[in-house]
Formats: sequence, structure tokens, C-alpha cells
Amino acid sequence: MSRKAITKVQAAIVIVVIVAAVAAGAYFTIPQGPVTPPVAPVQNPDTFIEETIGQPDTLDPATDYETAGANLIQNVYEQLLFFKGDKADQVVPWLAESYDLSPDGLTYTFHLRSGITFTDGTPFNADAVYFSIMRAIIMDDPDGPVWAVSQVIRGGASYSKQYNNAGPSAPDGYGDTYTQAQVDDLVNAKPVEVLDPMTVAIHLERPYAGWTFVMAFSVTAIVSPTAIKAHWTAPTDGTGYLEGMTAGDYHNELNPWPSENMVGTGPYMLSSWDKATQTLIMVRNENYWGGPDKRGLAPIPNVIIKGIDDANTRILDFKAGAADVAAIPATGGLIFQFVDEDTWFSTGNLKVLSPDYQVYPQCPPSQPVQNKCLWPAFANYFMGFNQKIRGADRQPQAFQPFSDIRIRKAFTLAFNRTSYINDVVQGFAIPATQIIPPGMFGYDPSIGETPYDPDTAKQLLMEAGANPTVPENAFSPDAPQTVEISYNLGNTARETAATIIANTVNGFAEDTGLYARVVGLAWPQFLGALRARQISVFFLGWIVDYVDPDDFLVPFAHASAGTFALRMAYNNPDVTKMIDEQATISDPTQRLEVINKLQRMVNDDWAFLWLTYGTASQVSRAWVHERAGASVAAGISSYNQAIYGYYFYEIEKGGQASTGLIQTLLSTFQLLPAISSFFVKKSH
Amino acid sequence: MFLLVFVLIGVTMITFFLSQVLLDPLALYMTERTREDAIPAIIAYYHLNDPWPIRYVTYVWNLLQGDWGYSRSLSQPVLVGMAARFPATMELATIAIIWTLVAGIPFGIISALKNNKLPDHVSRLVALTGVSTPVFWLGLILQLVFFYYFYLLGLPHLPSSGRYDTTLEIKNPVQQITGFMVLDTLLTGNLVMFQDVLAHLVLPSFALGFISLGVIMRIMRSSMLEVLRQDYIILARSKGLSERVVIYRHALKNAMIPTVTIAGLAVAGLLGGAPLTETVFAWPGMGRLAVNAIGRNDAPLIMGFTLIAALILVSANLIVDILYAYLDPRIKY
Amino acid sequence: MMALQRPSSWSPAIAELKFALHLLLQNKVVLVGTVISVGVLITAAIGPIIISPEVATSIYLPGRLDPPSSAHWLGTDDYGRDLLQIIILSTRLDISAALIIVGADLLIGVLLGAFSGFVGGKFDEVMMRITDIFFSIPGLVLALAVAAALGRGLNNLIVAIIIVGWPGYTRILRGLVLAEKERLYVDALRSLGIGRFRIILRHVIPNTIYPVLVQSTLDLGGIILTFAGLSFLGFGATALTPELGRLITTGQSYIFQAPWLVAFPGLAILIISLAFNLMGDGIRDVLDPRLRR
Repeated sequence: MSRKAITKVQAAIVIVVIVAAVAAGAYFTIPQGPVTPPVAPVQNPDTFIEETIGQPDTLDPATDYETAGANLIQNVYEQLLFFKGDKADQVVPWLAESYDLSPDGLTYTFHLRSGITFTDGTPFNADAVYFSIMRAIIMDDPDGPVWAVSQVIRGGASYSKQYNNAGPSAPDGYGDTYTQAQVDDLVNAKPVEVLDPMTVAIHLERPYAGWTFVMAFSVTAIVSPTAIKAHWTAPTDGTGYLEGMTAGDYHNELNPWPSENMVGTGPYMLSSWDKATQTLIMVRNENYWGGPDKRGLAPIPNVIIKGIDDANTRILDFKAGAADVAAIPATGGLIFQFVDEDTWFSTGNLKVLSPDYQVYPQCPPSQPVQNKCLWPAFANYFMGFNQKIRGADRQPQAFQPFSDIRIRKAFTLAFNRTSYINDVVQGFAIPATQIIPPGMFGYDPSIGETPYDPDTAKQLLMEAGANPTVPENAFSPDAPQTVEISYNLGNTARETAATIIANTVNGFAEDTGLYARVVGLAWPQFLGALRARQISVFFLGWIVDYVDPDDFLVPFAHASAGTFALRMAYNNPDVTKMIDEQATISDPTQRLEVINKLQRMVNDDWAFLWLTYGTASQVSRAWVHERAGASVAAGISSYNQAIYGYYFYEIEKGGQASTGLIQTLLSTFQLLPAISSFFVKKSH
Repeated sequence: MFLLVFVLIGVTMITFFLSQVLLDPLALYMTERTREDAIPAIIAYYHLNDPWPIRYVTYVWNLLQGDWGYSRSLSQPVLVGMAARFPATMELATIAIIWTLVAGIPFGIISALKNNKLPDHVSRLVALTGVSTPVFWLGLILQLVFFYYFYLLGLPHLPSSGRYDTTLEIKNPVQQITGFMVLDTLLTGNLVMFQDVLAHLVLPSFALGFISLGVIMRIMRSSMLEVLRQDYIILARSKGLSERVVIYRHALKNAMIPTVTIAGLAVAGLLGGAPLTETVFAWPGMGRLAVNAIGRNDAPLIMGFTLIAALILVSANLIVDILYAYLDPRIKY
Repeated sequence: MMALQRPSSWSPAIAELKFALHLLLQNKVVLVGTVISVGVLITAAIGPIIISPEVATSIYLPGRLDPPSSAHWLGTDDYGRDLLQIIILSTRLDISAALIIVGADLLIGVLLGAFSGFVGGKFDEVMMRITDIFFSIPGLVLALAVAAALGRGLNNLIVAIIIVGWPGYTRILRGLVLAEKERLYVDALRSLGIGRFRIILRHVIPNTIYPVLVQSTLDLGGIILTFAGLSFLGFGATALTPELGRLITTGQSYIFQAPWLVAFPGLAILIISLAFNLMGDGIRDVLDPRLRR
């Protein structure tokens, strides 16, 4: 008995030790850091491989409102207008040869290019334009991008307002929504009018300077009516429709085909989508018309987009050359496997560690962002304080801490932004100071960031607790209160930011009586609670739709039209008035003056905690490069904020990859301008 | 058979309860712009206010019709999404079961024959370590060592995630026949992909099977010990039959019977391990799908997976019963 | 009456227990398992005393992801906290969750099993069919579905695992009770006019509970794994809460840069679970009459 037992004990110890050694010990014995093989020859020269996170929800341009889908849509479909080079605020005619605006500013007339065909062989013409735009409006995805069209196109707003959200096949006879009569009303309002086979007029309800951006936006992508009609069945329950489009079918439940298949005019066509392995394959459109600059066919015949959720796997594939670009998150410092950490923190420049990679932007950058060499992404990450928190019963609760400016201010001062930027996102962000991000019209560089000042924060909370604005808002160590800070699960950076604020507040909660709790919610729940105004403090990001200050000012601060302002009951009538006012000012200097003033007023209200502005940079394999004179920034060495992901048409592979040892040594020792990738891409 | 139907009815009751009562079904149909005054219409249209029994019957009726609900996160019907991932899960589980049986049975026999000697102790420890190891952690450690450290050392390293190299597959397309990629690649003579698929299976199937390995070893051992004590074995020995004949011709067959049962039960363990293993190895199976569905509150998908897991387990038990009858002549159904 | 009855039903149990303890102390494996288990339990209990719970909320971002060193034996995590301290604090949550789960399952399982076996008839039939249903869904899958339905959070996670666990005990106890109720003393008690509930609670359960208790020791290890596993999938703890599965979730993102973040918490789970399993395995061996030969 005892001999047996001792052997077992010994064996047990051996096994535990072995496991421990393999698990932990290996770390010490195995060489650390990346090994540097000689510069690799180009792999898969005929295929561009992108490894990213997840996969699209849908490929239907009428409903897609996230970047993964847009990445494909922008390569397979085209719009009447499109962006120019790396300028997100300039559009050029694309599928349209030219366009005119009527003197009253209400009618855009587009003259279409002839001789362009969809990849199913059918011709591109005015009917296709009519079909595509009407389809987006009629499907009317409430969470989609179609608002950009409906808000201003003739008949759009009144159609969309009828929305009752009873699902794709809305019950017949409920209210007056999504019935055939309503669709007919929209059609009769003539938002889009076919003047002749190659001319289309679009009628607006009011003059709208941003309309050209909408016509370059993916929601107005031109789809093949023939292909979609062929896979469409008419609703039988009385729901309104036009041939090929069903009112309210925004989840593509009734007609799923367009959410998984694409027939467009663009340089690539969708070859396959395996949702299980998250693999999308595009092949070159061999009949591509060449774009307005007639640049021929896409240089790379195949594009593979793989969704690989583990960052480490992506990075290793990228290192092995199995991927040309990979999504490398900023958190955790994974990027420093490719760019030099010391150089980055000391100079703000990106320098690659190996000639196998290249990194952009290289300074002097075309669009310098403060003292960091990054592309501005026109994105604002912030925290909103809900001034009228609703409970589970959807009624405002009694304790309304954020109706008190002192508490809003205290929470803002409790955030250590510098530490967050340097330690959590590794410097790949710039401190945010106001609504409008740098690089956009309206940004005021003279507004400084809020300091990290826990002492003042504590003092403010003590005051606010002892002398509340209303009795219900009182709190003290004897009668403590708790505030919840919510973030969407899976977003590590947001979680960390929430945690560090909560941690500061809790650090002196024993004296103030106000505690903070961090709550992670799955995205749908997060969104649901947000809509119900139940979230006290929330984290969100806003990424530009079109490059106009309006696109930022309204959602943030407009009391009646602002998504965020509504969700947090932020209502400053003066600010709202000035937002309305600035939109009508045509003189840039005067407009800037109003914008600057109103942004300062918002800051004085301490309504938001500005975290960071989004930035972008790109590490890629050195054998990848953008074609010279690219008509649209491809996302490798130049960047356009309006393009989500890559514009593969302007990417080449091979050619310049250095091969010789001497070259390698040279590039290493002479510290040639660095080449490498990662990106802090646009992500919600 | 009656029991089977009964159990399945019970399982649907559980999934119905979880999805319809605990998870607010209304939430499924709400979006950003849902107006308060539209909610009654939604409730009426989807019959959310009907009495539970009626809703339950509708639910089961729909299930039988093949309508398992629509997954908002997949933008696909649940059954379509599950069907696309079913082979991946089953292939991984099958390979895991095969290797654990192949390794577990001989080791079990050896430890029975060398009762209370070193092999026996080792098998016991492996068994205990197996059931004590967090499968998700084991998966991560395997990736760390056989993928990353081997890569750093310039050794041939095993793939850490996915079912196959999608880039390689484009040049060597795999024709779908059975859905089991090992078989499909072999049947079509696609040796490049066969190798690749096998390499992708090594780490996840090891991690998944490691838990069951010990269990199978121990059961094999104890049933072998039990059988060796039986009179007919003693008789066979006393007749002067060689030890090999005694063990392999007489003892083994009878000792296998309980092991088969356990292999059936191991299916439960493997299915339970699927969500964790598949998540760690980014394996495109049903388990990972279910885990992702949770992040998006996709109730129809989660409950669909629960139902399928129950179906698989129930059928596995049925197969085990049949095998049992086949192996043990005393049992007749 | 009770004073007379008690020894008759208790004394064999006490003798049994003594004998078992005697065997237990002879078996070194069990001893090692028990010693580690007790050590783990003590660590869990006194962890918050020797290490200030404030450690869990002491964020020091410049010191995040530091490798193991003399200052931080197991390195630091992504909030710059000392991993060793966090792991020690974590054991408390994981182990108390496992104990709560096993305790609740025992309570539910034993009561239902005893009544089911003793009362028999329709009630028994229904109970057994219910356990059939639970057995036909893989445990972790069902726990996953229940946890998904209940929503995230530690309490919900614990409830979910409890819901999955009880039928096993019900089954075992019912079988034992079926045999037990045939024994003479039960008839005797009945004839004395003692109520069913009293007989079950006072006599039948105490006489049949040992195998179930042994099983529950064996289950502890598995429950710790399930709990950590579901927490790893994001069900349980929030960011700074010290919990082992959660630590591994965080570590997964940094596995190649900071492998200690995954390796050590996992090792802790393995050791805890192995200790409980060694203990349970040994106890079962000791109590299994067939193996006493």
C-alpha cells in the first residue's frame, strides 16, 4: 500500500512539474523576441491576403453600416461619385461622367458613363441607378446608413417616419406603415427620376451641400437590378414593394441573396464567402472599365480576406508572409514586434524593425497630427454622462448624479488620459479635446485637454454629495450611492478606460460616498440599454460619415436631432441654436467662429469626457505597394478617411522586395526610411 | 424509443423556457428606432402574448418543420448556420475519440495487467490530470509551445487555429463529399490538403481528447481486472491456454463492453468541451458559433446548439445501447 | 423514543466513518490530495487577510505585463498588478463558488432523490424522467445556455451551474434509498407511526448519504473547471475581479508576449482541481468495499 502510494506521489509531482515546466518554464528557456530571417521573397504574388477581425454582417450596400462589409462593398460596387486620392472631403465623378446642380439647389442631374457593364453582363444605366437608390430607401434599415439619403431626398423623410419596426413582413393593416400605398407615395414623390437611359435626376427637399458625399457613400452603390430581381420573391402579406425590393426587409430575411452575393461594376467581384471559416474571396473583374482615369484591370487577380479573431495568429501569419496585411491592435504593444518602441515613444515616428515590412505614414506626414506621425482617422472616442438616467421601468430614476455639473466635472478629472494613451493604447491615439477631430474643418487646436486631477475630483464630489442640487442627489459615506460605467464587452481599451476612472473614483469613495462600478454588456444589450436611456455613463466612438462639421456637431450636441445628446439628455438651447446657425453660414471664417464658440460652450458644460481621437497607420509586407498616381488612396501608403479598409484596385504585389544580404545589411545599418504595419483602424 | 421521444420533448421544453421566458423574446425584434407605440403590434404579430402552451406547441411544430428560428447575428436561418458547422464539430470530436480509444484501450489493458506497478500509477495520474486540466488552458499552452515556441526556434510548427489553410485551399480546392475534410481530401486524392487538414487537427483534437483519455484508460483497466477475476478466465488458464490467448481471445472482448459505454458517454464530454476548445482554436464549429451567439444575444442560435448537442448525445447513447447488445449476447432488445 | 432510535441508525455510520478515516490516513495519495486541498482552502480563506484586497484594484499601468522577476515572482498582469497576489486572491472566489455550487446541488439532489426513492410512484417516475432530460444535454452546454439566458454575472453563473448539477446526486441517492427503504428498521419506524418526512430526513438520508458525499468531493474539481471555463468565455467576473478563468481570458490576448498571464492562473486551476480529484478518488477507493480486499 505505502510503496504504491509513494510511487503515485512521485509520479504526481513529476507530472505537475512537467506541465509547469512546459507551460511556464519554456518562457525563460526559449529565445525571446522576433527572429529575423533574411528578407523574404514575395509569397502568393497573384493573391492579396488580408487578415482581419471577424467578418461582415452583410454585403448589401443598402444596409451595411460597418467597416468589414464596406471593405468589400467599396471594391465590388461603385457609386456615381467617389473620393479623390487621400482627400475625404473631395469627390469626383465616377460612374457619372458629370453632374449639374439646379439653381435652386434641389435637383442634381447625373450624366452617366456609357459602356459600363455589371459583372453579370447587364448594362449600367439610369434604371440601375433608380433601382439601387430606391431599394435602399424602401428597405429602410433603421440601424443602417440609409438615413443619409432619406433625411434629405424628396419623399424620403416622410416614408421613413412611418417606420413601425414590426419586422420584415409587417402585419398588414397595422397603422399605415410599409403598405403598398406608402411605397406608392414614395414613388410618386419622385426622389429619383430617370430622364433618359443615361441621365438621372435626384430631387432633394432642401438644398444640401453634403449631397455629393452621400452620392459617394456606399449606401448609394449601384447594384445590378437584374441579379437582385432574379433572386427576389414578392411579399404576399400585403407588405409594400417594388419589383426587386421589399419594404422594411432590412435584415434581408425575406430575400437574403443580396446580403451574401454581390454583382456590381467595380474592379473586383465576390467569388465566395464561407461564413464558418470567415473567409471571403474576391477575384478580379476581367471586364472592368478602368475607372475615370482608365487605369486598366486590377494588378492583383485574387484577394482573400480572412477573419482571424486571435491577434497573435494574425501576427504570426503576417510574419510568415502568409498575409500581406493584418489587423494589429494597439493595446498590449503587439505593434512593437514590427516598429521600434523607443523611436516611437521618443520621436513619435514609426520605424520598422525589419526590411520585410513597411509602415506608413512616414514623416513628414502629409497630414501631421500633433507631434505624432499618424493619419487622423476622423473619429472621436468619448464617454457620455447621462443627465436623465432611466430605470428598468423606463422612467427617470430619483438619483440623477450627472444632472450635477460638479459630478460630471469630477469624473472627467478622474481620468488619467496620458497614462491611458501611453500605457494602454501604446501612444497610438491622440488626446481628444472637443467634438470635432483634428484635420477637419472646425477643429480648434487652442483648446487644451482636461487635466488628471483626482484631488479636485474628490473635492467636487464631496461638495456635490453634501450640497446636492436636489435632495435626491445627496450621498455621503453613511448613505453611499453607486454609479455604473458601461462598455461593450470585448472592447479591451474601453474596458480599461472605464476601469481606471472607476478605480480613481473608488479610491476616495470612502470619503465621498460615491462609488463607481464597471459594467460590461454584450453589444445588443449595450445598444438596447443605451436606446432606453438606461446607461449612466457610456463609452462610444463616432466615425465620420461625411467630412463636414455637421456630421459631428449634430449627433453630439444638438438637443433634438443629436443621437448622443438625446441619449444623455444633454440640452443646451444656445448650443443647439448655434449648431443650426453654423450650417447656414457660407463664409468659412464666420462659420469657424461660431463652431469654435459652441464647442467651448459644450466643454464648459462638462457634458462629455473626451478620451481620444482615432488615428490610423499601416504596417504591410514590404512586397506590397500602392500604384503610382492612385486615383483613390489604397490604404497601404496613403489613406483616405472615407475608405474603410483597402482599395485593392490600386495595390500591386512583388517587384521591389529586396532580396540580397547586402541590401538587407544596408537597410539595417543605414536606417533607411522604415518600412512595416499595423493599424488602428476604424472600428466601432 | 418512447423514452427518446420523451427526453427530446423535455429538452425542447428547457430550450423554450430559456429562450422565451428568461430571454425577452421581444428584444429580438427591437431596434434603434423602435417606437414605443409599435411594441403592441410586434407582440401581436409574433404572438408573444399567446399563452405559453400555445407558444410551446408552435415552437415544437416549427422545429419539426425545420424552422429553428432566424439568427440575427448570422443573417441566416439557424439550421442553415448549424448545418454548415456540424461537420467541423463532428470531425474534431471523432478524431478526438479515435485517438483516445486507440491510446486509452491498450494503456488500460497494460495497467490492468501490470496492476499496481508503474504503468498503472502513470495511467492513474494521467487520468486524474486529464479530468483536472482546464481544456481551454491546455489549448492555449499547446498553441504557445507547438506553434509559437516551435516557430521561434525555427522548428516545423503546428497550426494554431482554424480547420485548414484557406490560402492553400484556394490552389487545392477541396471537394465537399462527406463534410469531413480528412475523408474528402483522401477520397479526392488531395494529399496537399490532407496533410494540412491533419496538421490542423493535431492540437485541438489532443486538447479535446485529453480529458476523456484518462477516463477510458481507467474504465478499460477496471473492467479488464473484473473480467480477469471471472471463473471462465481462471478455467481457461487452468486448461493451460497461453496467457496471450486468454487475454486477447477471452478477456478482451468482454472487457470492451463497459468501455464502449464510456466511449458513448465521452461524447457528452467532447460536446461539452466543444465550445471551449473551438473558441481557443478558432475552429469553425457549432460550439464556437454558440459562444459567439451569446455575445450577440442570439437566442435562437444558442438554443439551436443546445438542441443539437442533446440530439447528438441521445443518439450516441442509442448507438451505445445497440452496440452493447451486439457485444453482449446476454442482452436482447 | 428518539433517544432510543438514534444510536440504531447512527452507530453503524460512525463506525463506518472511523474505519474510513483509518483507511484514509493509510493512503498516501489521498493524504497528499487532502493536504493540498486543505492548503488551498486555507489559502482561499486567509488570502484576503495576508494580501490586502485593495491589491485587486491597485492599477499601475506603467508596470503592466512585466515578466516574472524577484519583485513580482509570477510577473504582472495587464493592469500592472502582481500576478501571484491576484492568483491567491482569486482562489477564494473560485473555491467558494465551487463549494456553494456543490452544497446547493447536494441539498437539492439529496432531498429530491430521497423523496423520489422513498415515496416512489408517480413522483419518482416524474423525477427520473426529469433527470433523464438533464442527462441528455451535455453539462457544459446546458450551463452555457442557462447562463446565456440569465445574463452575465457571477451570481447568474453560479445559479446556472447549480441547475445543471443536481440530477446526478438525485439519481445516486434514489438508488440507495430504494434499497434502504426495504430494510427492517424503516418498517419498524413506520409501524411506530413516525411520519414519512421525519423518517426520510432523520434516518434514511443519514444512512445513505456517504456515497453522495464522496461523489461531491469528486465533483468539486470538475465544477471548478466548469466555473473557470464559463468565466473564461466571459460569463462571470468583470475586469478587476480576481477570478482565475477571467485572468486567462485576459491573458489570452497577450499569450505570446506575456505567457505567464495564461500559464500561472491555469496551473493554479489544475493544481486545485487535481488536489480535489486526488482526495475524492482516494476517498472513493477507501469507501468502495470491492476495493478493500
